[in-house]
Amino acid sequence: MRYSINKLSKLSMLKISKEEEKMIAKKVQALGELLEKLDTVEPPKEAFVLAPEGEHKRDDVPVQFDSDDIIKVFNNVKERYLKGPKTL
Amino acid sequence: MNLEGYTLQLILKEIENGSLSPEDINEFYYKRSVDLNRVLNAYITLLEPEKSRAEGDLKGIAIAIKDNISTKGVRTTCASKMLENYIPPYDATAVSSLKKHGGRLLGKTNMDEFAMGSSGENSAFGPTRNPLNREYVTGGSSSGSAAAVAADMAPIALGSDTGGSVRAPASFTGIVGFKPSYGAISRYGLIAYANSLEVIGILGKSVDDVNILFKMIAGKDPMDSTSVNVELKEKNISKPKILVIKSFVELSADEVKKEFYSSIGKLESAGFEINYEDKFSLTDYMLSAYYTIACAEASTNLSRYDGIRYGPKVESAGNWRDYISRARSFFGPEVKARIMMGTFILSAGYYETYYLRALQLRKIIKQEFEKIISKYDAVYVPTMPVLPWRIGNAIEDPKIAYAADVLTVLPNLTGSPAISLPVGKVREFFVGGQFIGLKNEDMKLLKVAEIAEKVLQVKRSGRN
Amino acid sequence: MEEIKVGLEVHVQLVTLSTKLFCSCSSDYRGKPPNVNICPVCTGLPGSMPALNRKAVEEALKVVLMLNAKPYETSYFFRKTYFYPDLPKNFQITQYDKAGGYPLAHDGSLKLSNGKTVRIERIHLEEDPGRIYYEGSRATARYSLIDYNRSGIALIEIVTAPDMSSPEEARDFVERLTTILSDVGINVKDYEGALRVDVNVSYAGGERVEVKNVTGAASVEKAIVYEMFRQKTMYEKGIKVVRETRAWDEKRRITIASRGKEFEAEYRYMPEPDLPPVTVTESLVQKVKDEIGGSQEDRYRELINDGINEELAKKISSDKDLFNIYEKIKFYEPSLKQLAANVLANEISYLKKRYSIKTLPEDVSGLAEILQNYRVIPDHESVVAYLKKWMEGEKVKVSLKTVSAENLHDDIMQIISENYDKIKNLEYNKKFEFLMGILIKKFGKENKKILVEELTKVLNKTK
Repeated sequence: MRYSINKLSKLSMLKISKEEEKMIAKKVQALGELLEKLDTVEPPKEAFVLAPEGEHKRDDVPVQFDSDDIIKVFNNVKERYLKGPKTL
Repeated sequence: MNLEGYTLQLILKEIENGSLSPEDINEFYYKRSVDLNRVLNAYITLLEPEKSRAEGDLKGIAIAIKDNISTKGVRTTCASKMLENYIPPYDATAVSSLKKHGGRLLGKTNMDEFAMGSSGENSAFGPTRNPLNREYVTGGSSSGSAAAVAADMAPIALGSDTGGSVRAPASFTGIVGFKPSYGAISRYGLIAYANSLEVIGILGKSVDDVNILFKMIAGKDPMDSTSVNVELKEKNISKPKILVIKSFVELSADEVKKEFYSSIGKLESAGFEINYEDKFSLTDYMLSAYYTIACAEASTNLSRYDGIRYGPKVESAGNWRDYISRARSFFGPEVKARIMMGTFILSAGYYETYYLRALQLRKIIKQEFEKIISKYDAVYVPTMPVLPWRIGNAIEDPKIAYAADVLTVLPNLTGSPAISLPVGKVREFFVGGQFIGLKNEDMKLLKVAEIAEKVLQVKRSGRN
Repeated sequence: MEEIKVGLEVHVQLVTLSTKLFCSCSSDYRGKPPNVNICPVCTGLPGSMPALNRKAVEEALKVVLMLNAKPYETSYFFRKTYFYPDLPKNFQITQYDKAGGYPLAHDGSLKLSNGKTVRIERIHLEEDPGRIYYEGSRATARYSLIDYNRSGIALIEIVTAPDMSSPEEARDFVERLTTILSDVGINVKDYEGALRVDVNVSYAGGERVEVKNVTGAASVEKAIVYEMFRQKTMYEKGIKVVRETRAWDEKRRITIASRGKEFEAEYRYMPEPDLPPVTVTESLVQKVKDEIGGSQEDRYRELINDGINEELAKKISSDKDLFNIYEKIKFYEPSLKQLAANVLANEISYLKKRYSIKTLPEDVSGLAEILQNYRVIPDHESVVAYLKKWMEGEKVKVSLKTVSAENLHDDIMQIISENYDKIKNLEYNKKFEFLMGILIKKFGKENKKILVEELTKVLNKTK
């Protein structure tokens, strides 16, 4: 099977440069070969989820994280808001 | 003062009896790292040693941490341009555990970008070179951590293991690499590549070293809902019962096979009960199951990197989708390839074809392995099917690197603990042997490995 | 007229929780500065992991049971991937009913006022994204401002079958749902934006159009009215209605074609590997059932049986909080129940809303004190003041000023001398009235009897 680098990169929101396109295509092809080995595997009768074990629930008690520490990480801040690209 | 060849265990003893101070020790490793890093490129970030007191079990010793483990206030890059300047505002639980035990941070080690790779060549900061021969790869993805320990640039190091990323570089550099059971060490703060497969692991000079650190950082963590408590009591085994899976060994190159079989002979003479199994069903599909699941999980884990909250600042020309795509262009080619493959696997029409089949395989592999391991103390197979290759040799054919994982992915698929130690020598390199145990029986596995290590006595020159 | 089919996807914030769904950040964000209730988890920082809020499952189950839905013993969380700046991980952790997934519950129902039953297909848990703001108008703004306070807030999503056939029915659904939610303490009306609806409308068996993020029952009705009109117009002109997602413009009262995140058709659902499944056991269901207590009908019947009139009974039975207090007073002092019902349905109800008092005090002794002294509290203003005090958790002591005849005599003399000019030319009755007015103000209505007595004595003496 041939994988469309163009289509997959768009869906993955990735920009691929001309220089790396060939190398990436090779890698995708190699991964594809591994993937396609699964064609010969018997599929499960119905879909299922292989979830991690354990009962792990948290109590509903507020814990304050220093929000200023996170704002320090943000790229662009204006009056405590994260400044981002316009989405319209 | 020369600490070359010193194990962590020895260092701690010397501090306790007053012969060494933590400051002396940290100074030694720092200076040596500054020196050797120019060539080996084991560290992305090196921290100048601070005043250190001999407190806690780790007595103020500084430890190397793989650069995909969050360290508060210290740059954590995952060896990627995407996080080149990212400074986490919190410590991973494993890191805060180390600090609670008196440990310090020595530096952040080089790795394959976002832990995707088996050689250490996929770093945006250049490859890490093997201390045993600088023209050769270290193995990955915890390449820097392995090189640092092997070259005495760190007393011990943390790494991560998704498909062999602690064991492979340990094998290639001739040290011990321990992959604990899934959930034994909290993953909170480990920057995710494939959540259901990965663990934080430990690289050290000896099984005892790894044992010491493991007990300090293992334990259920409320921040990690997949973490569990494994029993940490030392186990006693007199006559380890071992199973060798022949088909696995047969996947290895001749020079590896030879050393490996030789090690079996030594173990048998020392009282190990060796059993053989010809095949493990589904061996042929392990790599496919692994890469399918890993790529799918990776593609969602890495969606968050869009340059908006953190990451490279791109110019705001164009619409917001262009903005995100341009920011995400900062990933390296291996990362991009796996993300795209993951996107493909999860897209409509292909989920049933690949992802569900991979899950099915995984389920069966787990069941089959559990049946086998319940009768033995450990399974014993080589760690890597080949010896280290020259840096740059695998570039033309990506299949080489992917295929190198064939012997290491099983414990990640099943969640079992596994440990690699040097069991033979070929020229300047070592052959790594891998013990795999029953899930959550980490202490038993460590005991088997400890006995084997004593029997095999494969060591580089140095003090113990 | 051709018929329309309406289905709703209602997103309700579980406002009874103190923290978010997957992290311990406070869920109380309204009126706070931006980005104060945030942490590595709800901002999706690298290495962060979700941890499920135990109470969220219980609160969600309350709604499940009130809507007669059946919980699945095991349900899973899934990742729903789409890129948008208000979604920090660029995937939302939600629940999915395909690919092996199970939502929290299935197959419930809600009866409308007109008797029609609307089927509820499924109910599940998911996290809210953050919010995006613009300075000035969206058109002229050059960047967005993002606030993650809301990111990670626990939502329950209620998905109906397309059983509604008019804007009024849809509105009624939302109103009835709101009442049911307040029955279990989820008072969405007290929280801006806590209930948002995605409205699905199809006209004359045509394509389904989704109108996203409509807030409030009235807007739901308006949005459907508009969509009906828009689709009908296209149908009559022979233009095919295309399946799409639209946005509701509250100001202009129209739906508009939407772009942006709604463009993503493919969500690439995958199980969330960091979260174990949600297990709902028999005992958990029983625990939740006990917490809910009886239904509104049961409460109404009990009030009627107690002799409380219909209007009061209706009001009190619809609010669990009010009913609980009624029960407690009834237990404390049965003779007070009629008065209690009155005060609960009127003054207390009013004060609750007026001062945004979310829950009433556990201890009803203060209320009982007020009710017992109700007749002697001088004016309604004072009653309300005492009630407010009690509702805000303060200790209440109804103070009645008591007077003795002796002091009274001197006080009366003083008051007369102070007001001598005003009263000197008044005839007896008017004089009496005037002075009584001052005395009542000073000493309280409760002492009227003795005031009358003493004043009469003084005035007769000085005659």
